[in-house]
Amino acid sequence: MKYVWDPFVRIFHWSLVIAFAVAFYTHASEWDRLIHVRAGYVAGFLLASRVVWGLVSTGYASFDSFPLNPIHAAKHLYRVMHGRAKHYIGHNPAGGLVIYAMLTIGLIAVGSGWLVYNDDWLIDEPELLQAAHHYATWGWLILVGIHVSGVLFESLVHKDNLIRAMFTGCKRVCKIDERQAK
Amino acid sequence: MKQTSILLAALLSFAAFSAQASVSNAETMIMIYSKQAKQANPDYTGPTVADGKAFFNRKIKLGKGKETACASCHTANPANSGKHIVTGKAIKPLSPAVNPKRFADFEKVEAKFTQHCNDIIGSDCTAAEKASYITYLLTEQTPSIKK
Repeated sequence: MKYVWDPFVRIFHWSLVIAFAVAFYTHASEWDRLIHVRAGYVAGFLLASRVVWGLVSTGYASFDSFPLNPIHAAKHLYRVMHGRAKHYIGHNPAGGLVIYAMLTIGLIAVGSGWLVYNDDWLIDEPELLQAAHHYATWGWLILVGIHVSGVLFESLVHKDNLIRAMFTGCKRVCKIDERQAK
Repeated sequence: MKQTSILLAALLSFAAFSAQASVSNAETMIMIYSKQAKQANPDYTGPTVADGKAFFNRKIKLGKGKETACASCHTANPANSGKHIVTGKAIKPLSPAVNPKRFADFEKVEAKFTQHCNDIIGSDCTAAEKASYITYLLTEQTPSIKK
């Protein structure tokens, strides 16, 4: 067993799941508008905190441990398809790319929602803002889909329950890439 | 001075034109909805301001126990700015005679009717209700004096 996800990351992760689920569930009705807005502010606060934590923390939560590199991400996916992917303890390069995309699009979704709600004081373009909020949020939902598929795929391939790892913080880590060592 | 007045005249006519464009769009929508209402009911006699006004102010009680009318948020005078009863946020005037951005795009209006009617009233509005609703909104052209 290896301790991978620190308490901040775990609390952040599941709080964001809840905040986003609440915001999504309440997005359509005027009656739920206040709950939707508050859930969005919570999500925005969580995302911003995660960015700060990525900058200041050490270990697998740090941005240094999963550098943004789309070429490495593509190479990783290529290797996965050929069954000879390197095993990463924290985020693999493809997963890391999705994380950066989720942080960025998530903040855009919250920021645009914030401007939609306060359309009278910064940008008075309700339709443009609503469109931005709409597309950013659905883009985010697609990223959630990719994220979850990646987690399930890696859980199956490495026979390691990554969802449990996000609760306990511990991953069962196999000996780092015997195939690579050959 | 002459140049300024020409510019002013141009601006004014542009403003008048854009307001006019919105009103004619709203009128087109009334025609479309009246046609739909006539198709649904051959005895339909056309939209009326009275029906629209009654619909606008009619209080509807939803299953959630909240009793609301269109006027709850949009105020009794749709030419005024409204106030969202849940969030307290300001809402721009609903009457297309005052706010040219309202009822300017049929597809958006249709989508908004579907969403808003189901959300606030609990069921979709009929074409006859929509026709009278816009007919009434067009008659409200003067914002009340602010308190």
